[in-house]
Amino acid sequence: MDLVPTFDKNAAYIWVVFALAGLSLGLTGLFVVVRARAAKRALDQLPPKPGSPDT
Amino acid sequence: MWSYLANPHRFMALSQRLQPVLYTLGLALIAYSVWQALYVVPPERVQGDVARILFIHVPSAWLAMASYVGMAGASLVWFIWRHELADIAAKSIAPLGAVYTALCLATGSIWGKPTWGTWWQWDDARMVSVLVMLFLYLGYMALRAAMETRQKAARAGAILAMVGVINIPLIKFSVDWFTSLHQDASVIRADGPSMSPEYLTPLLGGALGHTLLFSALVLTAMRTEVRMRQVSRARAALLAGA
Repeated sequence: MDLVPTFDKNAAYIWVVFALAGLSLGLTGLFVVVRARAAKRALDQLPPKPGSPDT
Repeated sequence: MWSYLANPHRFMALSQRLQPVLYTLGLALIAYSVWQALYVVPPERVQGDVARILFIHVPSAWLAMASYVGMAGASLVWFIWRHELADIAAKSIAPLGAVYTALCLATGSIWGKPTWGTWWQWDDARMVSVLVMLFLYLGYMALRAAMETRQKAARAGAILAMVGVINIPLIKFSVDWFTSLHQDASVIRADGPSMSPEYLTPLLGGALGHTLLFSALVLTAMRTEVRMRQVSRARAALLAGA
């Protein structure tokens, strides 16, 4: 099995589609994870509620 | 059941356990499908190698529609029961559904050029109805962003999502009702799939993988939104107390 498969004359279309899918889903995943971490950080930085065990 | 699931604490605990499972299974199934598509599946008899594009295009089309139905369903739940978590779900689904819809349109267009000889056909009801769905997603997000309060955003968004769901049967049955470049349904058919198992198995595996990955991303986005609302409530309480 070749490391990089060879296709017929439409190879460029195939590679563009797979690259596009990888890139768009990868960036989407990255965006979701970065936003999740930022939200968690913001929540953790809130001052403790009055009366809570941390005060 | 809705009330049980709508509890944010229960949701956060459940989603924390579910997320890693969904991410792992989803990515593994997508990797299997891509490996099959690029290395194992033989060229299609009529289309040749370009049919490999369908291993990305079909799952993205499926998710584009399924996520809209999910968004409309969550909007309906919010509209009837006013569960905040349902609104959070609808809001979280919208950008991810828009990504899959854009991917569906782009990959379909790239597949169409070597197969049909055109990037786009305005006469094709399926292409146009999927484009309308992308505008519905974008419109939903823009509408929510334009509202002054969270309640108004939820209400306006829910109405748009529920009205827009009429587009889904139009997309699904457009190939039967109108003249279209698209072929008739080949997977979900009354007499069973017309595709050979060597194509069908990785295609369904990929579709399931993308569905699991999408679900994991939605859960992560929902957890983010829950936390952001907690932060904004806490800040509002601090300001009110100051």
